[in-house]
Amino acid sequence: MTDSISLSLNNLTVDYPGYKGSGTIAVKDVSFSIEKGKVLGLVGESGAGKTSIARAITRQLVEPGEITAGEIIFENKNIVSMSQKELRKYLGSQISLIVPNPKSELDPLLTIGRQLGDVVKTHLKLNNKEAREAVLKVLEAVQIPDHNSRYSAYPHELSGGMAQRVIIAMSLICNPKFVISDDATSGLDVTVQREIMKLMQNIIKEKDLSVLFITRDIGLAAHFCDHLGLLFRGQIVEIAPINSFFKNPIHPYSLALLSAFSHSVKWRKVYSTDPQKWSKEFFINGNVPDSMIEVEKGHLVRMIR
Amino acid sequence: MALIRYIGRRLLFVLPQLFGIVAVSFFLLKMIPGDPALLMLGPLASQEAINEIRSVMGLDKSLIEQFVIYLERVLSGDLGTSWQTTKPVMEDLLKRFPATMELVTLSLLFALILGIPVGILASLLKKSIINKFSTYYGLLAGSLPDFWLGLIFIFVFYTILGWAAAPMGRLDLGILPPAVVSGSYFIDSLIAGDWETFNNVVAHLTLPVLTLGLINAGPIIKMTQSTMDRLLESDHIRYARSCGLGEFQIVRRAFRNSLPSVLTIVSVLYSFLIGGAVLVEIVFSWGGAGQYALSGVLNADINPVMGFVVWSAVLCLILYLIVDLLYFAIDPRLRD
Repeated sequence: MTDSISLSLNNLTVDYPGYKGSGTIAVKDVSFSIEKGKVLGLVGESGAGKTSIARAITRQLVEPGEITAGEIIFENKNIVSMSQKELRKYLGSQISLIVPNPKSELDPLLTIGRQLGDVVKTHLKLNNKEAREAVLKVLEAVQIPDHNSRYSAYPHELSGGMAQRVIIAMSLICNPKFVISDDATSGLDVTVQREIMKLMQNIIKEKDLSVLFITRDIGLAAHFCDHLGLLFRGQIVEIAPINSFFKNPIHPYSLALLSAFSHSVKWRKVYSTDPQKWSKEFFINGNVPDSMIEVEKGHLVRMIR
Repeated sequence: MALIRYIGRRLLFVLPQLFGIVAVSFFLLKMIPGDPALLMLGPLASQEAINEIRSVMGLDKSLIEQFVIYLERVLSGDLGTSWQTTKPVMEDLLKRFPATMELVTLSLLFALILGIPVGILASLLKKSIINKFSTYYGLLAGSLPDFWLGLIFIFVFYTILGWAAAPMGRLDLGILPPAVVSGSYFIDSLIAGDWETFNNVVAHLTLPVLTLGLINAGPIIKMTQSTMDRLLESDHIRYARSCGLGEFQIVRRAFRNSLPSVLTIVSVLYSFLIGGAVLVEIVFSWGGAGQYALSGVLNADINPVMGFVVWSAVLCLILYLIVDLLYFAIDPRLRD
């Protein structure tokens, strides 16, 4: 069983302490596992804790955030208890991150060839010439036109879509096994978004990657993921295989989100919620309960019965 | 090509800038009360003698006329004569500016060598002793006057311990200055390969350079530390970390990005110290340009003061041009 799992989170909790005591618990008791070669979509509104989860997995939480409980298991190793040195070997080579706002994530003073080259040189111990070849190859793979001249371009000379391709190239260059995509297309307009998604889809299929796909756009996730988890105030309220999720959404928050994204009246009716039901099964004094119930195989809902 | 055009455009503005600086300082200086003729001849001089020297110096003409005459002379490379040294100001300044520039440049180099590593380490090791050190150092360096520190150094290292050379200029009396190439004794004695002179030059430089360097390392440490703090938390450094780059590379990238801020503070300190090192120059009898200008101010000797202003203006304009070119070298975003 464990051999087929690429990455799993067990009861992960992330806290941003205030001046006194526990401040904001951004991620609470989150568990999920991602099978090899599968894509788990994680959907939630802003502030739900999506990015905190992505940063917790790479252990790059913004100060003063910290992982206070739980474990992150990647290939039978717990990332939470790794030393910085051990962690660095995994980051960028086995686990890589695709970030939003690519233009501010690239070093403005270095050419993209240099930045990509630094990553392969660090992880794969290549010399300058081999690194250059690897970089050109990956730039071609992410369909950057004219990649020979883009090699010596600076980040500010790239368009948003092009910079996003560079970030994707960066995440692929060491042939990772697991990729986190944190709202990768949020800064792009829809046509570019489509191109990037198509590119990512092809690469994932081709390289058989396991992916944690974080997004705010449930419609995007529907086309892209094998499983879908819905995050609400730092907790997963519903997680299910993609078909089960869209055929039989149960949690009122899922329904509300789906109806908000439904562009036809008909679908909005299908995904309608009955506010009367809210308080009984799903909320205790306005909070979600601690227990999750498996309603179908692999379909868990945070509720009490 | 774009670079050459840029330099050309900058140089085009040098002349109007210089004209503005000369005009403002000329009229401001003329507003200072005190008659040079009276000061030169003393209180017992006859009115005729005073009138005569006033007409020789052109003081009986209108301000505008005097200004035009002065400008014409400056354009032909003549900065007038100082009545205190009775020598042409140009000649005096050619001797004194190298002294000042040597002192200021070496002091700032020392301040950089001290300030940048301390600033980086203080930013990297948040809970370390070096972080506390940098905090208090900034406070101390900002509150201590440099001339006072110089006096303390002289007292401790010369008077009590006897380690340092006498605070009496740039060389011992018995030693001849090296042949002039750059005007800096430090460089010229190296070029001449004259080790005795070189050692003596270094001995005389040590205390004033320490004084100015230690004081000016304060702002450099602060600037390095705060910029590094900001950059180590920045998006692209966090992203570089999440790509698994080593700590050395991370620090190198962060420092590279903080270079423009460090450069800014250094250029400000540099241009300030060209005239602002005057108190330290006096303490060490350095014979620099600031000292020369100051005695001009105190004795209504306008030509040395104006000469100093013109020289510092030219040096500052050159300095800022170099700094701007360095910005270009560091940051590709500025090149377009």
